[in-house]
Amino acid sequence: MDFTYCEFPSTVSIDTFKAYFNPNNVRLPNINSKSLEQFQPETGEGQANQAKSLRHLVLDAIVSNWCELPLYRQLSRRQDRNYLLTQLDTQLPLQLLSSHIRDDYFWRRSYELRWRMAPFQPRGRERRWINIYMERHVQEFIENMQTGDYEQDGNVQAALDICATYINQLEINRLQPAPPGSESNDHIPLDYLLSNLPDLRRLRLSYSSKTAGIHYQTGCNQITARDILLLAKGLSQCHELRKFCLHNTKLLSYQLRFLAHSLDKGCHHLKELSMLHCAVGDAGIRCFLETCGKESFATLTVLDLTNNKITDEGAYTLSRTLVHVPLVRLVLRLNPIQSDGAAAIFHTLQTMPIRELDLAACSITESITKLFMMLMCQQKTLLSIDLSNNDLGEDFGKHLLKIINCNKMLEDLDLRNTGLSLAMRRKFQEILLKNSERKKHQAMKQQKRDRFNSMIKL
Amino acid sequence: MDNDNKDDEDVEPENANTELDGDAESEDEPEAEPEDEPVEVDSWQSFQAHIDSLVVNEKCDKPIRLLDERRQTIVQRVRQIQRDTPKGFSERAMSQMSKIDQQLELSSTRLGQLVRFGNELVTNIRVANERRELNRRVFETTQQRDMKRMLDGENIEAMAKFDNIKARWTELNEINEPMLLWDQIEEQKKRIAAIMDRKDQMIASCQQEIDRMNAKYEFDRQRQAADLCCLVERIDNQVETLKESYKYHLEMLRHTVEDERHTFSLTADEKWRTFFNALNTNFEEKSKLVRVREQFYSLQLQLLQDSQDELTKQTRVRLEKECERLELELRRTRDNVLMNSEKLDYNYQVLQRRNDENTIITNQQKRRVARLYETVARTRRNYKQVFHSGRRTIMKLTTEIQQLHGSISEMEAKAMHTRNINREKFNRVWNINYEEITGLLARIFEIDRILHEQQLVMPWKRPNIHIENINKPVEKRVNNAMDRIERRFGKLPKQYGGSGYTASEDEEKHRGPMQELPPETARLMRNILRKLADRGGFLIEERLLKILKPYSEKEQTMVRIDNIFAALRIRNLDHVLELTKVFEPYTYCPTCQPAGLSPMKCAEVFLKDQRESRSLKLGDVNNPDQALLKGKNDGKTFLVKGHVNKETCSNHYLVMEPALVLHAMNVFTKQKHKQIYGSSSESSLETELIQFNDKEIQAFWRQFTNIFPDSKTHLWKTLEHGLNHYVEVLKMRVQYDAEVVFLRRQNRELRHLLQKFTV
Repeated sequence: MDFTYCEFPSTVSIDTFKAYFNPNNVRLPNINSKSLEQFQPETGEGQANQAKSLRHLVLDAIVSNWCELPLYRQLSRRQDRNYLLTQLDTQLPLQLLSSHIRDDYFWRRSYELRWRMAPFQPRGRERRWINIYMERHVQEFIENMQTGDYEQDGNVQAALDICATYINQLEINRLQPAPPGSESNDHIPLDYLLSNLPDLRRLRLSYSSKTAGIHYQTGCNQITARDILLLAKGLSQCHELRKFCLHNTKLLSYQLRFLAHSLDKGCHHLKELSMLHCAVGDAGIRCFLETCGKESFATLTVLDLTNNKITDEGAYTLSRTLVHVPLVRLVLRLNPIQSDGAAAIFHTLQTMPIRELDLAACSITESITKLFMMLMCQQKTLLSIDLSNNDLGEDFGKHLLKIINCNKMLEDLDLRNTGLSLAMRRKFQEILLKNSERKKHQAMKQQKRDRFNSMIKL
Repeated sequence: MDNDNKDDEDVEPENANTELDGDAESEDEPEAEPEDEPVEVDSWQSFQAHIDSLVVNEKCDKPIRLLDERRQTIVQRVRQIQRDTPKGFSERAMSQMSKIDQQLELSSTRLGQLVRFGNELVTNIRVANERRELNRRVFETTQQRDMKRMLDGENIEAMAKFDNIKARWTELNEINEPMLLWDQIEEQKKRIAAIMDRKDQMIASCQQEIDRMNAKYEFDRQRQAADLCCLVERIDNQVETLKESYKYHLEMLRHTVEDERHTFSLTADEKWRTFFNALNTNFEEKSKLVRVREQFYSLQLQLLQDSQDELTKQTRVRLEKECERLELELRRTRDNVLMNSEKLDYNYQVLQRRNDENTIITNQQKRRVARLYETVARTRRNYKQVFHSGRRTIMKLTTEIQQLHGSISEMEAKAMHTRNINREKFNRVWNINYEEITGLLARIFEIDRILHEQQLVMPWKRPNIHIENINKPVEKRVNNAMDRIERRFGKLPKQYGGSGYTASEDEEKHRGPMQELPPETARLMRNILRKLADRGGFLIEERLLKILKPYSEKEQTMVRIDNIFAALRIRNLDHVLELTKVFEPYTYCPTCQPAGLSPMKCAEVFLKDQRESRSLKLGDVNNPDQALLKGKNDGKTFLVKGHVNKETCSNHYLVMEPALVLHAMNVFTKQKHKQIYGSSSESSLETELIQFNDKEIQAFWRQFTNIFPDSKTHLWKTLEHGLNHYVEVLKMRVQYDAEVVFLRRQNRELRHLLQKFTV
């Protein structure tokens, strides 16, 4: 088998290829993707002396003049297109490329050439490489934009024209601070950008800057009133937003009010809300929840409030409001809510289909023991609980050992650094392992039964 | 400033941790395979060395050291457990499953353990970090609280002292003694210095605290960096080991699959081989049996064949005989067949030829038909042309005829005009001549009378000469114009007495009751009337017919006849009689003339009629009266004829051809018309013409030549002669008289002259 002249860059995955051909007696094209490189040690030198075919010469000519005459769809043969995709210069204007080429292989190549490493894609949930490229492009565009460079009708509009339709998720890890001489610490306005990304589903945002340098001034990492107003305005236009994460940005209570309002009114499909390391505090939580009505955040399933200085008071207000929210995952890591707050949270858990609960480093003491035992016996949906770094003590372990067999659902219980002995943790782990194995077994049985039933039906 | 820094410090490691965690997990999940002991040990050893070095570092917190010890024990235990894996349960479970399932189970458990372990290993760092953070927070809060308490205490103290100093200043105001004042001021100074010292001390302690914090921050940062390094290394190692182990397990799985396949193929081979062997042995046995059976059957066959041979010989003889016979028959039939076939051939050929002929004929016919079609088309076309041309010529001719008619009428008008002129001229000439001749005659008569009375002295008697003027003037006609118009309108001229016409009076005499009529005429009349009613429908109004429908036939005929009579202006019985008279010639007696009215007669009637009309129409211009008379005579003769016929077969019904009814009616109406309006236009025309010929004129004028007898002329001649002499004499006498007169006048004049002279 000789595929030397068949340029197939990305259409065939290596697994498929291996399933159908023995790589030892197949000659592969030497130009393209690295995934096939390992199977072709000797094919390199054979072609160096060969004259290029006329087809390749023509295609080369097309490639070299592509800037003036973009021919892609006009090439009807797949091989020609593949060759073109392997040879085309990725430095050409983005607009030209994006308007003519959608092929995954090309965009993956562009991505690799621009950022060295292409990210792995989870199997079964592959996304278009053009989307990934454009997302990264917009991310860099936003992250590197100086506040003075922002021109709504100029560069921003141009970038949006090219990319807006491809953006599904956006991860902005930093924003450039205002120049040192300016009066305010405003960052670039995000309202226009966000409201012009119609398909935005995930947004991860941080107003911090990674590098301080000599231009550091107080508050340059903080979000200002104007910033929060514009952000809220933009968010209220993101109707498709599913996941929103704001991290490493200090939020004041009044700012949370705007945020809650816009998220509640604008994003009707919001499923995940994360505010990591935002120093919200009890007052912030109160403000946030005051703005919400009973019906708001009805679709929210994940709430992550890691490291937000929430005390037992905040936990109490939170637990009162969360009764109506069908949360699946709740994270309150690094918040000193103490046993009282934990008790309030436990009480609320009874009404929601919670699966994961993270209360690590929450300054919970052994006074929670009784309540936790009750939770273990009653809760039937929890799969994983993280209680690490809490002072629970040996008695807690002893009580838990008695009662843990009641719960057949729990698969994971993290009790590191809680004052329990290693042996005890070992035992718990074994029990939980059995739980999970049993569940797996049951699932297998159920599967078999289903298959059998379907066979009978047939 | 402080706070921010702390926040940043808090935030960053966590962030890094979470991110790295995420990475590790995401990389762990897709792959999942078992452990490789030596590699693991190696990596672990390197880990341990690294971690030991960290632990040995005195700056590490106590819990972390504990944590690491625990971790080590866990590792050892895990290894222990793995080494002496319980063989009872697992092997029992495994024996039930296939090798692949076993391998899968094993791999999944091993890899699950490994992954869990790796996960724990990685998350341990996070947990430791969190613990440290928590401790730091607790420590910081206590430190902060202490610091704050100290600052508060110091503040209160300082404030008290400050108040004291302040109070002293007011006291000092009252002191007037300089020395005392100075002492007091010195004391105040000392006190202030003490406060300042205290403040300095506080500042120093704060500074110290900040230094400590900075140092702590620096240390934390370094530790975080170390942690990150450790984490990265761990993750890398984990990823590496996991990769290796996954690969290894994959390989193992592949091997097991291969083995399984191999064993399966072997067993299958074995199975099939035994199966084939059994099949072979079975086959041999069966073949033996078959052979024995075959021998037996062959023997039987031999016997059967012998007996069969005998039978066949006999039958063959019999059959041969039959065969000969059949052959003979066959030969005969073959001859027959041959004959038949020849006949058939001949017939066939004949038929074929006929068929050919037929085809030729049909072709000819077709051709002829086609030709005929063509001719039909052509004739049709010709006919059309002729039709069109005929129509055109008809049109032309009609127009010509119309023109001719116009010209004729013009000519007629001209002719009439010229005729009138001629007539007038003629009349004038005639009148002149006539007047002249009458004048001459009168003069002659006068001269004659004078001659008789004066010369001859004889009584003169007027000779009776009466020559009638044949060309009397026609001035009466002019007067008649009004009458004619009146007559047109149906009024009778007063000339005829106002009521009816003159003839009616005469006819009234003949009028009598119906009963007086001869029965046959009455019958004929009824017949005629019925016919009339049937035929003369066109004279009746259509509406009437509609109204009549419901009535009986008799009544219908009655009404119809009434109407027809009204139309024909038949008012009384005489008219009816006249009608019958007209109709009689067209009748015949069906009993006497069973053939009906012979066509000859019909034609005769028609021709006669036509001639009549033609003669009437063309009519000799010179003697129209003759023609009229002739027609009248004809009618009379005809009538007489019919009468004769009628008489021959009395008591018979007379019948009439319905076709002739209309004709007869036409004749009747014409007659009637003539009767009523006289001879109409023709008669008027006749009167205007000169009603006599040349001979008559000549005769007329010649009459005058012979009007005087010869004696008279002789007398006149002699008289003329004598008178002529007498005229001569008289003339001489006149001459002499004149001469005498002249001479007398001359004498008188001479006498006069003489007198003068004499005088």
